[in-house]
Amino acid sequence: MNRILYIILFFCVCVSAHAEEECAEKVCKTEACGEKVWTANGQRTNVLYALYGGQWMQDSYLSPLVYDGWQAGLGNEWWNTFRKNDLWRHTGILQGYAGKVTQSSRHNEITHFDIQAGWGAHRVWGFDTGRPKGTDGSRVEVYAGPFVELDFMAKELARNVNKPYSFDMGADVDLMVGANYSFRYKKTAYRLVYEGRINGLGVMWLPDYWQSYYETTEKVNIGGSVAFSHPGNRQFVHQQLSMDFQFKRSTWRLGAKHEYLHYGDKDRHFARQTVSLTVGCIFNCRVTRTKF
Amino acid sequence: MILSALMMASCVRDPEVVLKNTMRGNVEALWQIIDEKYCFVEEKGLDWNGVLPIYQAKADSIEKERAESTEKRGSDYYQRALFDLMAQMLDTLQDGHVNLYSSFDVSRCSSWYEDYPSNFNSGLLTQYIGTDYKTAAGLTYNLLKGHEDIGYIRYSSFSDSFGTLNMYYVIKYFEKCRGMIIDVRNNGGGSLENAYKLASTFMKETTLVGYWQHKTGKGHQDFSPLEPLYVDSTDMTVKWLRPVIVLCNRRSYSATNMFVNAMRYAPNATIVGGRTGGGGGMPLSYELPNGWMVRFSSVRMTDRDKVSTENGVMPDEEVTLEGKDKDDLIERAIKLMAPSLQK
Repeated sequence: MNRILYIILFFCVCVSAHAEEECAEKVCKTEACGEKVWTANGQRTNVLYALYGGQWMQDSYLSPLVYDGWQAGLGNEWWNTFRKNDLWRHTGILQGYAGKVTQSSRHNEITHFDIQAGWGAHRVWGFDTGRPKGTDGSRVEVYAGPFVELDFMAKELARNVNKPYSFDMGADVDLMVGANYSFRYKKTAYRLVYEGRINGLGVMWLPDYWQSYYETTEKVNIGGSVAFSHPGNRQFVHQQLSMDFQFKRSTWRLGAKHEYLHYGDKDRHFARQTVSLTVGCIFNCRVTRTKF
Repeated sequence: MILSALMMASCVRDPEVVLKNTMRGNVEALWQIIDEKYCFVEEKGLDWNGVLPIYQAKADSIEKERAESTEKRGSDYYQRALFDLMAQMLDTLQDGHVNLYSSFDVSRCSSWYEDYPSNFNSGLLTQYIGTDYKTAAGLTYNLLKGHEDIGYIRYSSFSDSFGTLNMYYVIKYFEKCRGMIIDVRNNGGGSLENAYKLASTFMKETTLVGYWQHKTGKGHQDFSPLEPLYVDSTDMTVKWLRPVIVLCNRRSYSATNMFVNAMRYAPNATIVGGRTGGGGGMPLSYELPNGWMVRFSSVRMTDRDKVSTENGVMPDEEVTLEGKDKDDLIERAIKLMAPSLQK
């Protein structure tokens, strides 16, 4: 299992590194880390970040106990405006993390890895807010729109009989809302960003009560394990607060993310919550289509 | 954001599951797990409701003793006392698949085989297979001494995997034999996959061998519909379709029980020995508030006639090991293999 985790982490690193390399070739040198850092028409803004934080987890398929521990990972977020309508932006996310959680008596532990991917579009409303005292100008943007999200988490319980693995799997159409406040202070550009997502409708994996791993994997008996999800049986909240700022000729992000997921029914309860700190690098790149 | 994180942290714990990490709380949690998830409460006719107050009282008395004792006993002493109490409670299930796991001990029930003849003496095997026996993965095999037209395989644990190539070499070694003995006595089980793979060696066609159903709710009779269990004849591409005799005893348990059950439906197979141990419920596990783990039968399995295999499978020929210098079960198998008795 640990090998699988390392391979996935390695894959995530490679994907992110590759993306950065591609963009570096095509980036407009004056805009990548310079003045027009926030939004540049026709360019894609990327945030490549690392995250580390704490996690609380409950999986009634594996155990009735609450597990807690740590998680660490890498991710990439991007957004850019639509070519024909700059009031709308589309955005995407690819994030992977792994971690380990233990029960309070430390008799058992769960190793897990998670991959989240999503894409959405949102309408942007922008307002110039003048020059508040001490700043060189400021602007507020508010945005909202749909976001399609895929979430896959694999969990392995170290000490178990015939039921060693469990999965959090879901695909949802979320509502995404956000706001950012950009300003300049002493010739340095800053931006405060708050973004939140809550789930709407989708499908999810909900393993049948006491269905064993053997039944699921060897006999492919998954009847009753896939269910439609809605806010009544699945609650997902993602929110992040971050500050983007320029430092010398590069642009950085410091932030905090909070995710809460709870789903299940009368007899089945799954929940997890993560609070992480993120450190990221922001860069713009121009997306071009290669012609053969 | 921080406020909402703190608010939601409390929501991670399911409000319906009240976990109390006290002596009484752990006893109650154990009782509840068995009550809701153990698949044989009804079938075994257990008065499980009557068990709870007895053990609640015993847990309270240990707790009281701890509170009032003037002797300086470490928490270890009371942990062991609680463990023994809970093990005793689980013994009422009379199930070899039920165990309690702590950091210092694993409880086990042995009464399910103690009242039966052992029917196995490993010391007698040497005279039948010598010391020049071969081993292919988990399969120990040789030609029977003095009866070189009969092959003998001992498979002592279904946890030991084997592959088609292993079986190919075994069968190739037995190519001049007119019959084969498979000895699964004292085989406590292991992987059901290995059990059905071995059975597949003796099946010409994919064969229905039983059904299973798992619990779907808290009620004692809340089960999923019966789902058929097949031995897929293509699992093993090498075949033995000549006579085969399976030797079993009461300690042929769990996956071995299911193997013996499957062999009842194999052509040319005869089961010899004593009633198998049962264990016809696939075990799962769950955790207690103090972090200990309990293993228990949760998936109920039946034979082809939908009769539970929890209490074992009866052999075609019931034979008891009486002598001290010869293995009556192997001797009986040799007689059954006599050319005059074969079709």
